Amino acid sequence: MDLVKDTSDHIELDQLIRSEATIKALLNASNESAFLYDDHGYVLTLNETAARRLNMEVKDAIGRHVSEIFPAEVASNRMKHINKLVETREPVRFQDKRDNLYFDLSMFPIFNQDGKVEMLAAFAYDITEHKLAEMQILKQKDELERSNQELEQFAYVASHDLQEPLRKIASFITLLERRYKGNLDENADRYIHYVVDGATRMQGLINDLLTYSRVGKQYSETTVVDCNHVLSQVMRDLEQVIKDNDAQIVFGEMPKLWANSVQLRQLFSNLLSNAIKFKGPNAPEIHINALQQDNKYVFSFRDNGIGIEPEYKERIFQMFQRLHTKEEYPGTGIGLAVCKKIVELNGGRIWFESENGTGTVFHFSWPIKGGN
Amino acid sequence: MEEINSFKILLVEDDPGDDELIREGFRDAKILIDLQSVDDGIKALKYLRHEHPYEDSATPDIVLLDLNLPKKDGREVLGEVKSDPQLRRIPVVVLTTSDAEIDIVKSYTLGANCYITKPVNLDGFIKVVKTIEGFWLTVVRLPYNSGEY
Repeated sequence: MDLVKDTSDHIELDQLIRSEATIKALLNASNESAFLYDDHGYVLTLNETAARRLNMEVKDAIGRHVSEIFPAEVASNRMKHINKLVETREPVRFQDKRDNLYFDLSMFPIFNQDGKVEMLAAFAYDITEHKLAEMQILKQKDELERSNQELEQFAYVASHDLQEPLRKIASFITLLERRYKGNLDENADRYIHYVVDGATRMQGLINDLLTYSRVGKQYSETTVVDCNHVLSQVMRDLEQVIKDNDAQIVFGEMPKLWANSVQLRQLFSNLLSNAIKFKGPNAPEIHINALQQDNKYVFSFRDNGIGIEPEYKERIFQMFQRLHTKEEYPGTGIGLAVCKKIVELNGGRIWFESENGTGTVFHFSWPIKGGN
Repeated sequence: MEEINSFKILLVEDDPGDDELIREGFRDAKILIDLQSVDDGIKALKYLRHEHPYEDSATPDIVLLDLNLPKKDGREVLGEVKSDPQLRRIPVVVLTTSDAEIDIVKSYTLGANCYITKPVNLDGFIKVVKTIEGFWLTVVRLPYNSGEY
């Protein structure tokens, strides 16, 4: 070789050596494995990380077939993808598991002059940590779902079975009150009154608990439901309340939803009766609207009632949370919890806006499914 | 027929409290009611078949049947009554705490004449009993009951 005058051959060779060294350095600098296979699955070369993961020296691994360096299962999976790549000439990406490690592999073809796959470049990324975290999350999700189901089952059974003895207590204390009122002394009458009151209230609570735990358990089948019908039904159900409170209810054209009609009726009924119940100094005026927003409807129930302090925005949707004494406004505090459960079971969201003294707007969203 | 003809009811109910509440409901009945009660399914069938120790039992005009009973439950009693040619004509009113769809469907399938869920409050309960009186014992024409079919 002429040391003084470079020939073009010399430059090419030099560039080749340098580029090979560059590639080698690049591959060895990587903490992930890199292989170069021929089209039959023999190792042409590999980087140091790959050798280290195989517990071999680089030179010992070169020339071996995948079946010689990997456990049978890993080798057969790899051969399957090598064959697939050779056949389809498309890059492949897959995962495999070796000992306790998980790998994400991608292989790219290198073609010869005839356009056939001559070699395959393969990179294996260790995704064990990621994979374990993912499995942990899935496991936790499973556990959470199971414990939620158990809790619901528990609530259902508890409320159902508690109702029976309570029915007995409530019935006989009422009978006692009716038959013996005035026959005992004043204290006794008052005590009995407290028992009747407590038992009646507990019946209400248990009944609500049952209602709540039944949402989604019963009446879960969905169809296309016309909200105009649901709303007129609810107005009929609440006819007396509407009349007694001199309430004005205004609503425009309502959409059709993919829903369960019993659930939807419960939802509308709770929101409407709340709007009437928590009225302000003036007769209740309630506006109900539904607007399409992208792939959902957003409903709003606007009232001119007493309003809700913003600090209660989370609490108000929890079970048995009440913001007023039962003397001010009767109720057990289940209505909005049921609303929230119904809306969320159907993939929507419920929230409110309110300024104290000027009324409240409850909104809920309902996804549009099946293009209805 | 006798002039004073009492209405015979067999109540199959294992809960003494409910037994009493039902009697309470019939307390101011406008008709004369002879209410006998038994507290399990085996006794109910023996009563209806006049078997020992109920040799002297009168065939009731109507049976009020709870579903959840010891020994032989109400569903079985209902099934046996309705498949017995001697007993099938006796109207059976299922009166139970269960509001499960499956119990309702099963009871009617077995031949129950009506199915009532016990209301949770006293007034509701008494109203139901009065309705039974008003409908089954007053409005409805029942097969003439001589005790023999």
